[in-house]
Amino acid sequence: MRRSRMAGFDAFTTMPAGIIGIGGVALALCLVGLLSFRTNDNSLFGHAFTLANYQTLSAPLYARVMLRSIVIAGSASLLTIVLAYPAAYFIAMYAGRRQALWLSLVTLPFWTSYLLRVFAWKAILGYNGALNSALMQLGLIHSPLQSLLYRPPAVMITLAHAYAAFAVLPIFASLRAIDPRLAQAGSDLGASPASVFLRIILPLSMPGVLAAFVIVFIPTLGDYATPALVGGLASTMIGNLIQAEFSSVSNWPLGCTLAVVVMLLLALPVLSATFMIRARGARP
Amino acid sequence: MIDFRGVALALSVLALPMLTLPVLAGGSARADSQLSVYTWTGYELPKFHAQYDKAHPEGAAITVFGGDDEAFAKIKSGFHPDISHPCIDKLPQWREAGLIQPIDTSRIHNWEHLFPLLRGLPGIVADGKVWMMPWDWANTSITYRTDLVQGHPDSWSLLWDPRYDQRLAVIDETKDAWLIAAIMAGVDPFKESLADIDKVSAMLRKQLPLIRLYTTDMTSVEQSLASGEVVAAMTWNATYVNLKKQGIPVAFMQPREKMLTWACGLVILKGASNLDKVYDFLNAMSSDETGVALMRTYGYGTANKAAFDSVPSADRAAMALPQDPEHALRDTLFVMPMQNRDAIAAAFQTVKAGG
Amino acid sequence: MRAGRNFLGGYAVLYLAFLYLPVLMLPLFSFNDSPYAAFPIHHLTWRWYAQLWDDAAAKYALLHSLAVAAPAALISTVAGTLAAYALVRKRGLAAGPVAFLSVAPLLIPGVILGIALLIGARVIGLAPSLPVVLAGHVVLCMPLSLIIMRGHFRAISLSVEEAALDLGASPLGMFLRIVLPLSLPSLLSCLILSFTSSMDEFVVSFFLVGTRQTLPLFIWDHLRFPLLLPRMMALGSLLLLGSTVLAVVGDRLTLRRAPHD
Repeated sequence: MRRSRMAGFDAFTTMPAGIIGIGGVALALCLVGLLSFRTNDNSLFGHAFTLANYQTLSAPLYARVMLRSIVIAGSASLLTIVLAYPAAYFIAMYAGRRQALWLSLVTLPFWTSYLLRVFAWKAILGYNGALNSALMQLGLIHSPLQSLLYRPPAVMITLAHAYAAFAVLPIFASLRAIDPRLAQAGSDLGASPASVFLRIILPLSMPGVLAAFVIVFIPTLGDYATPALVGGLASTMIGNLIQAEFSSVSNWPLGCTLAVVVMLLLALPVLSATFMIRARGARP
Repeated sequence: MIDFRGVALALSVLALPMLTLPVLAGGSARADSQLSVYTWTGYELPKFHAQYDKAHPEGAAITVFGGDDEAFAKIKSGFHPDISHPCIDKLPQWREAGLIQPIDTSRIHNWEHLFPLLRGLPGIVADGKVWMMPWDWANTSITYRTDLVQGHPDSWSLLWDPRYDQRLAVIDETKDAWLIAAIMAGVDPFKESLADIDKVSAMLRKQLPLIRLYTTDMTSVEQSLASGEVVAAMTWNATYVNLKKQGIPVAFMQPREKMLTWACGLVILKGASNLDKVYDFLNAMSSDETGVALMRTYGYGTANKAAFDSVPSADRAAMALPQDPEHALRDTLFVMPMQNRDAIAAAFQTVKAGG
Repeated sequence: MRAGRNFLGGYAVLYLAFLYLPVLMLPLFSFNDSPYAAFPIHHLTWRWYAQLWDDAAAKYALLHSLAVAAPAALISTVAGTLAAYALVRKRGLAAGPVAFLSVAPLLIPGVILGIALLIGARVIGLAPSLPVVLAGHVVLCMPLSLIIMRGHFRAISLSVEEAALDLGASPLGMFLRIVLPLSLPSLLSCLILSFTSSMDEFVVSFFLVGTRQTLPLFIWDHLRFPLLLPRMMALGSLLLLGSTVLAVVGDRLTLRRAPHD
């Protein structure tokens, strides 16, 4: 009797998430895959099965945009991590009782609108923006720099700023989880602080770093809002192409094809990162 | 044995946010009774439909778009406003996609006051029915800084001039950027073959590296012209009018190859249910006061001839408006429906993305 | 060691400055007496705040966002908690696959989820609208709840639950009266995190929104057509202020609950 009650309860616990997951994720993504094989005639399902959409993707444009997206997203993720790591280290190791305060301070900016934060970078990097005005005031330049805005570096720095908290938190968590006795043992055995860091702490914090990379890379790869606002045409990313197919170009099947390709390209790195995190972060 | 207390507790906690669901659903009822209008940014100002607001205190729910390409896509994806605002060149596409319903012109009080030429533009009347109420018309040309651009440019080729690398802006619309490139490529913009489309793509590709702003956001273009970040931009005449008001030294070019004239109007979407409100809104928009307000605010021509003529011609000249639509048709290039629009849209997107 | 600590401390302060500088642009320009968010700033004014106050569309957008965020937070927390419990306590064969599906949205770029949900909605015959946005937000927020609660359930010991079951409690009763009360702080975190994620969600909502906009969509329109931009600066400043207050209050509450780290 207890087993059947348990079975009932088990079904109950997995049902809500199951419905949401199957309906919202599995079925929806299957529809995307299905649509990628249909011909576009401006109706919902198109009218015939075809491989033409995938053939269209062989045009050099798509490889170029995909590569650019990977470079921009990858650079933004690396930049985010490099900037966040020392801060996370400080909070984990030296902040003591003020840890919660520091974490609150770091996450607070992200409680405002993401779009407005991106726009704020426009106000900083723009022709009449804060940076140009400051540089002119200091006499370092005579006319405003054009290259700050509407180019890929603007997208990289904006994304690095927008996703900073997503990097700080996992790195902080994995640093905190390191047994302090390991570092202690290292220095007791004569290792220099730099050595202790490079050979004990840094490797042990890798799960957090990897998690941070994945958490930042995936959304930034598909972002279309930031490139649209601060990137200019030179920064068109794959997310912009997909969004355009659902907007002004109105070719849903081709948009779905692009989406399928992005998911396939992400599958390998994401799965391997997940395995690496699991393997390194496994607890006894 | 079921734990009633536990379940009761769980259910009561769940019930709380469900109280917000009436806002989602019942809000529908409120929104259904409220007219839904989908129009160009800048046209949502209350002064353009003041008459409607007086008769219907709950007002109209107005959503805005930057270009009618975007509007078409959004309506296709399931957005259902009652009224929308495409331009003449898009009208056949909207009609063929089954998005709109005919207009009963007997219910539009000022119908006969609208310019006959505009009322008779291709596509407005089809199958013996009227599909659009013309509302606004004006010009597209180049607004340029007279103090930052050398000489007296008189050609669209200014937007291809490498001397102004990264100091140029174009409007991100097929009826603007693509159309001008087609003219400069020497093809008929409205009857492009696939080979023609390749030529136009090549023309756009040459221009792309020089362009600082590729956008439908005219306020940014205005600001860039005002600050000198951009020295010449493809714009509608409202930009020229606004900058002149601010005292910026600008001119609105008269290109050799002719400037463009566009005409847009209001359409009733197929699912629109409350036709009384729809016609009230159309009447409010086509009123004389609204026509004058449109001209005074943006320098755009109103389709309402009585309103148009009531503005002194000296003022109209200052807005860089043609004397009337007949002159516009003769002296400028009227933007008409383009053939092969799907191929054009795809090619345009490809070139913009760098392909 | 001391030098290293001071250096890192200095870096952390600079890092905070980097994080806050763009955000502080918002209050700065919200008082700027010019429609353009550009330097130099000549005069200050309150009028953008006044315009925002009178803007009915802004208030409706906020209302719509709240009406979506509250149920989304609750549904995703409930579903995520239950699924996390099933996963950690190894309840049934479905637990693992369901958990994987539930967490999958974190591994997919938002634009793809957005189009997938739009197509899914259209297939069922639903037009883009607030209920569809709600469904989308639930899909997006559930992974967060699942991960947080999974971490929490792993940490609490089985013995209390086993004892309750041995003493004759039903599984549901045991869950509701023993496990949940123990989990309140984590549940609260899930609710707050889901709520704030939903309030600021743009990338997916862009595809699912109909006539009634959520706040991020409203902001997006005003960024693209900056005639109405300055009041967005005012809005952003108010959001910043509100979040600061919430954070301080939240800090006080958690400090009182757990005085030691």
